[in-house]
Amino acid sequence: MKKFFQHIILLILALTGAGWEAYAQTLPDDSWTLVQVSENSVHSYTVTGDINMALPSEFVWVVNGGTLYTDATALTLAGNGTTAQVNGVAGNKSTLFVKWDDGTGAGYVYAYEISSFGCQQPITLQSKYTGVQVNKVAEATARFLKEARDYCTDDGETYLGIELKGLAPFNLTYKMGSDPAVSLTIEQTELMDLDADGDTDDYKLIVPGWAGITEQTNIVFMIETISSDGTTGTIGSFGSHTVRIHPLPDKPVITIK
Amino acid sequence: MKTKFYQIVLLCIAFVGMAGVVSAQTLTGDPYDTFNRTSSITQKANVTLNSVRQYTIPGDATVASASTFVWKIKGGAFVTDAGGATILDPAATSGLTDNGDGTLTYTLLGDASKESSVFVKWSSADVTSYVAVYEETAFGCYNSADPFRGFQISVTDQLEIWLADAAQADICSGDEGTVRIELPATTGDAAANYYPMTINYTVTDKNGDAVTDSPFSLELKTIDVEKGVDTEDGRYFYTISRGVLAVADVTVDDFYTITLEGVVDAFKADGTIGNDAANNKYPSHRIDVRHLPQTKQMVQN
Repeated sequence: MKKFFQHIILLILALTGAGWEAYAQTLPDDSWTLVQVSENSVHSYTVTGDINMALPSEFVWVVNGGTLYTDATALTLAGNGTTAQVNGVAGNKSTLFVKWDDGTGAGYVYAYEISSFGCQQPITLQSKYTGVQVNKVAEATARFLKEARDYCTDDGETYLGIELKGLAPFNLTYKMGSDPAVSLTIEQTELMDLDADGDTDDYKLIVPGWAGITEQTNIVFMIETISSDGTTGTIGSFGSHTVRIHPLPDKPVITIK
Repeated sequence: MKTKFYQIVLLCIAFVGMAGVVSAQTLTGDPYDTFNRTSSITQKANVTLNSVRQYTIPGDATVASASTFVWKIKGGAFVTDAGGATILDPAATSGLTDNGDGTLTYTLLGDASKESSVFVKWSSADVTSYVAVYEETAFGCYNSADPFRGFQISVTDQLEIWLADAAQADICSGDEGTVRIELPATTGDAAANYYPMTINYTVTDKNGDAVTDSPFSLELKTIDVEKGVDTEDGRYFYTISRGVLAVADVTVDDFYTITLEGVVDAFKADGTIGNDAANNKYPSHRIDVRHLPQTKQMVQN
């Protein structure tokens, strides 16, 4: 019977504690900066602690929707990858890296500071926690809108349509035939809706005309790489685009009979 | 003349008979001539050095007129009241005589209740200290067989209090806590003299200014520890609740210093404030209040 009451009391305490914690803080805080990141991208986050501390503080980091690392290459976990308590460095700063790798659409990372004397703001104080919210965008993909297209040798400057999905700016590498690869950085402002699908996600790859070509020629444009937000993306279908260049027909000979 | 003499003798006999004492005589000479500290008085008492104690002798209730009481002390001084602030000067006090041998004699007429009472401040650690008194009736009679009442006095050490640490672990702004004043044991002969004691302390801020609107709970800085003595591991202490301490400026740390200024025991004897770091006795105690971190906004790089 005594044990029964003990359990009841423990249950009440547990429920009360849980309720208090929920009341104490609302995380993520809407006032935190909201940024977009690519899925699987790695970003560094820096907190500057109290500059009036004589010694660097400790910082407690918590991430949701990603993994904490100590390095930009995401090789060494910070703490258990979800929470970490790290010492600040000169200037009372702390920097960790987050790989946004759990596949969900949103996430956040926050930190709070514990001074070298063990002091910290009360848990009920919302501003104790400083953080960043993220919306995770799928990794970049790139593809030609068409697999092939016919051109005449006298066509002037034209373009190839490339659809880019993901978070701009994009880093695109392509090759034209056996020419050396060409790298481009494509900003969001350079995108348009070429295929009229309602998405402003197409890029006009301007190519010169085909002057000088006098016979039937195929030139293959190949997307070599696509990346954005530091993350390598995937190349969709169509990854290559064949330009079929046709010579002009001979001039007709008009005979008079 | 002769008739009056017989009347006095008869009254003395009647007085002695009522008191149930078989030996009595009219007073001739000084009864203290035969006084001996250890044989004339058998009661013993411990007092604290510089304490003030009141001694009262109820006289014979059956005598018609109040008796005269002749007090004698060694090792102390007669004072006017329990506060002990005014020591009676033999040269200016009727009935008070400095015998020149370290003793004082004070002759007082009993009050309406046929009692007599004196206050004595024990100002010497003399091991032969005593307080004695005998009663002489209005007819000049006294109990020659057993005239004296009183105490052989043992003067014990003054009370000592201290703070166990010169400083305590840093606390955070907004924290609550306590400060312990170490006290003597509440048991034993000395304890009866020490408790209740009054402790005075001051609190100063980091500028050395007195904290008058104290963050500490006891604004008057005076503690009466008649109650509330705590014990732990054989030690006795009084706990000052210092309430919530918060830094005034969130960018800097503060500290407060609590200093024990004095202690007075139950019988107005000044105690001492321990100051012996080798034995963890400190007169003051510093509390460092650390400001809470003011963290800036996180940035993504």
